[in-house]
Amino acid sequence: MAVQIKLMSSDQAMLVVDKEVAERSVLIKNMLDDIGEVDEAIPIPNVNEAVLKKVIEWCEHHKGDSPSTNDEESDSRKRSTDIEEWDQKFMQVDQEMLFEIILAANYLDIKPLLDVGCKTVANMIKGKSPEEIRKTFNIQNDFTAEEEEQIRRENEWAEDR
Amino acid sequence: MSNCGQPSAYPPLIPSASASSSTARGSLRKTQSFNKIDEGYSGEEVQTPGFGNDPQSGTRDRMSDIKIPSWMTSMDPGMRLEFAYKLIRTLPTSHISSLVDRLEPILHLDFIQILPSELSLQILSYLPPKSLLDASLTSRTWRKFALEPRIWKDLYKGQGWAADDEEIQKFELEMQARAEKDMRQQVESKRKAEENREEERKAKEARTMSFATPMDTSQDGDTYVIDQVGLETPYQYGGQMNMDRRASAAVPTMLSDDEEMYPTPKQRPSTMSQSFVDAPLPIEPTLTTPGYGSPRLNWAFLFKNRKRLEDNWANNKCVPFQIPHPHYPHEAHTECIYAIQYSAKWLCSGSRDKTVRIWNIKTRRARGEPLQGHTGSVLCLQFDESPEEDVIISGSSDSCVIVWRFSTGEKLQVLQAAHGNSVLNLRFNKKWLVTCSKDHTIKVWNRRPLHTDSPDYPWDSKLVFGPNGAPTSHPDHPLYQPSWTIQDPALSSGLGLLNPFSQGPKQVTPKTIPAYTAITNFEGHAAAVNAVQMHGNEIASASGDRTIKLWNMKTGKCEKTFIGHQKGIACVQFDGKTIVSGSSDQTIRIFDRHTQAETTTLRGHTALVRTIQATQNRIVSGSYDETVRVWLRNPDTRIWQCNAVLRQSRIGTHPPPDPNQSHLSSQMQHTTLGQVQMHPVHQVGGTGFAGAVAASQLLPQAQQIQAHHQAQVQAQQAQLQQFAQMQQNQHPAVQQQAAGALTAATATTATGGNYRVFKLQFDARWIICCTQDTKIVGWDYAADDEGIIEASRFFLADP
Repeated sequence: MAVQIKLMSSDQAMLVVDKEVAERSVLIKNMLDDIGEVDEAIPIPNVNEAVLKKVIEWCEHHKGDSPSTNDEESDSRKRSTDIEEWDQKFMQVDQEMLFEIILAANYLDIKPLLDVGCKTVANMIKGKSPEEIRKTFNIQNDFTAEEEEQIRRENEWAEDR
Repeated sequence: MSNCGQPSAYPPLIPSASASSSTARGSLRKTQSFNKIDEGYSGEEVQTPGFGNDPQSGTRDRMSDIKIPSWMTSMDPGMRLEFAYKLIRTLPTSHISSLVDRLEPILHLDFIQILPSELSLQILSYLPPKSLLDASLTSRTWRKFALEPRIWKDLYKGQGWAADDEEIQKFELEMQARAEKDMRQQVESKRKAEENREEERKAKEARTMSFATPMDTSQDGDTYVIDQVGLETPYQYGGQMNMDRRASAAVPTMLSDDEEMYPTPKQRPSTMSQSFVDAPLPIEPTLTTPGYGSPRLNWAFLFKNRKRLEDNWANNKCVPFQIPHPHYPHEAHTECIYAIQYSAKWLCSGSRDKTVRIWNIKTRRARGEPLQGHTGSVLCLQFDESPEEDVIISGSSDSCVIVWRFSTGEKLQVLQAAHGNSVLNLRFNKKWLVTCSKDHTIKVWNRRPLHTDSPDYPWDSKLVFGPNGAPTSHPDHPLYQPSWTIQDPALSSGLGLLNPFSQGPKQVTPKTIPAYTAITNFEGHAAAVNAVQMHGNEIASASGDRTIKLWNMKTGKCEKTFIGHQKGIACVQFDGKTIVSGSSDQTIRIFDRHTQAETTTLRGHTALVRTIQATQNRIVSGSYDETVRVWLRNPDTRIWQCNAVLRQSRIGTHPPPDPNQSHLSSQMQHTTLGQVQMHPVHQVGGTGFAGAVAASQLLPQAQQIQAHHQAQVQAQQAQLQQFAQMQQNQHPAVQQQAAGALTAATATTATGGNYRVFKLQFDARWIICCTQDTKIVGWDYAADDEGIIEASRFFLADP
């Protein structure tokens, strides 16, 4: 049986996971490397139960992934917002959860999950008009009409010819 | 932005009681200013029952006095949900609808307000330019994030555009130095102000004395610096903030750019965020953008202007210019110009008038007197103005090579009889000089003295040591084997280096070889070697014998011979992977270095292709047909196409009285005809065919083609004429270079033959070329656009 460890969410919920799964988090891995075998639950003070469960679900699915070959991704990979199908489904959550996952992935240092999260948000911006972007993220337009028109004109250099 | 930049804008909005009972969510909401989000969205006053103790929204709405009974909040979420649903269902539908409208924004979160700035920036870093600009239109805060220079730097590099990292570093250090200086002055002025106050306290009775105000005590140049750089308020607050931190008079250390530019809301110091809020929002990106400690180079500005510059190339929007400046015609060469090279600041030219001249690119004026020393036409040159090198090397039809000091024009060394005939081309790097000649050979010279312990010491050099190379008895020789008994006579003979050209057996003591000694002689071409190019340890050479050869400088062997051109080859470029060459057969051919396959043939010129420069996606070629052609490769189809045909003759030989009137870009003939043919020819698609038809309908083109046919018929006659001219000429070698060294007879064009293009160079911004004319001519693709001109000092041509 795989070695299991316990995680304690910010709202005091105890979660039991395979060590291998938990170690997708560089933060947890480093912690385990430092303290060795422990019976006590590792506190994850910045992540609540619902989010932590979601993150663990992702780690479970990706536990077999080969670690990313190099830290500095090639430009083409970095630019691409392609997301594999399972991850796309996984990220079909409300915005609050989505941003919580991003924050958790950042805190727990799970770079591939952070990347998927950020790409998901980027895809929500891509191809949208400014007005649609405002709606999507509830952004308050604090430009005057004249400013907006000026910026619109200024941005014209990037229009497809 | 005004109420979100403040730490106080992020109070816990959820009552702690309900927060603890809420198992799942809530942490994001703690950091969110919902009153702000509802503002302006629905247009009505807000009451947010769940977040009722937000002090700001609470005070302005009596409805918010409504408290949720504690028995309700103590229910578990599932029950609360069911209860709320049932409660809502008791409302009229119109109320439910407005409730939905009010709830809707809760599901849409402005992540830039929520996430740490580096995560927001990571999200934006996945977006293409157009999306970023659309995002930048949504709000002031979003505009600051979407125009963050670091994102645009990645985009710039992602385009494959090259930037002058050295220049950028220099610029950023300058910015930092200015900021530090400014900060020191502010610190100093504050210190003085404090001193003044101290003194005031100590000497109250001296109050009548006129103390300088604190600002007046700051040193001169304070405001000057700010004015000069056009710095905006953020620059000053940057100093201010650091100054406040100051414990002693010590100058605070600068914060690097990579430290958080946009600290997370809760960490954001109030002075900082306030300053960001107050920072003026430039509509157009400018060269610099506010930074934490000092202004930063604004990559959004660089990207925008590089894109516009590239668009100008694609649309052939350019402005011609000439050197010398039309106001100073007397500075010009007195005869045609065979060679040019330019850097960011300087251009060097070599002419049939036997001189080398140095020009200031900005002013287009001559720098100092012409460099005199050659007794024949200057056919080729290269220079390096860097202080470590500070050199010009020129080759001439007088068979000599001269090494000049760039900064002074002083003649440093003359390589007399460097070749047995005209020196047609030369290239140098830090270690070696390569020359090629009409005498069919290529020579390699050491640029610095070589000591026997140098890894580059040419032990095998036949030119230096004779046919057997250096004696292995020298202890530094790689094959040296210590021997206690045999004494090599050469070691004790005391003989110095022998003249490499002297005949007879040579046994030379290996010792330090002085700079500019011929080390290697590549023989193998059967005709004049018209052009050489160095890359690493390899030399590519183009010859009148219709071949290109690749030589290994280490082994001295010819590694490859490229066959394809049907006439002599005039120019070659080699980047390690690809060879691009131009020939008297009127084509440009591209060869793959490894497979040796000819991958592309570009047709369009109607005479010898004399000069060429190529990057990944751009080739510019100059020909005896008096045109410069710009070839662009479609990045998707990877097919080359002639995008423009430029003619010096169209610029006008008579300089306009005012340089500002020289913007006769409309005079430039340009065409986007499909004049490119892929190799082999049968691969040409419909465009090529249509292009050929169209070309024949274009009058000047048709004339040229016809002229060319005539010329071919009259080729022999033309040669005879040239020969006659040669006889009359005082510098026969020059004519030979033009007519003879390039081997295959080049058809003289029937259009007069005044602007045959001899040499060109281009970079990200302009093409400069020299022709049979006495003036140097260029086309500036910045096309007088101030933004592009300002940004282009940081641009490099693509590799």
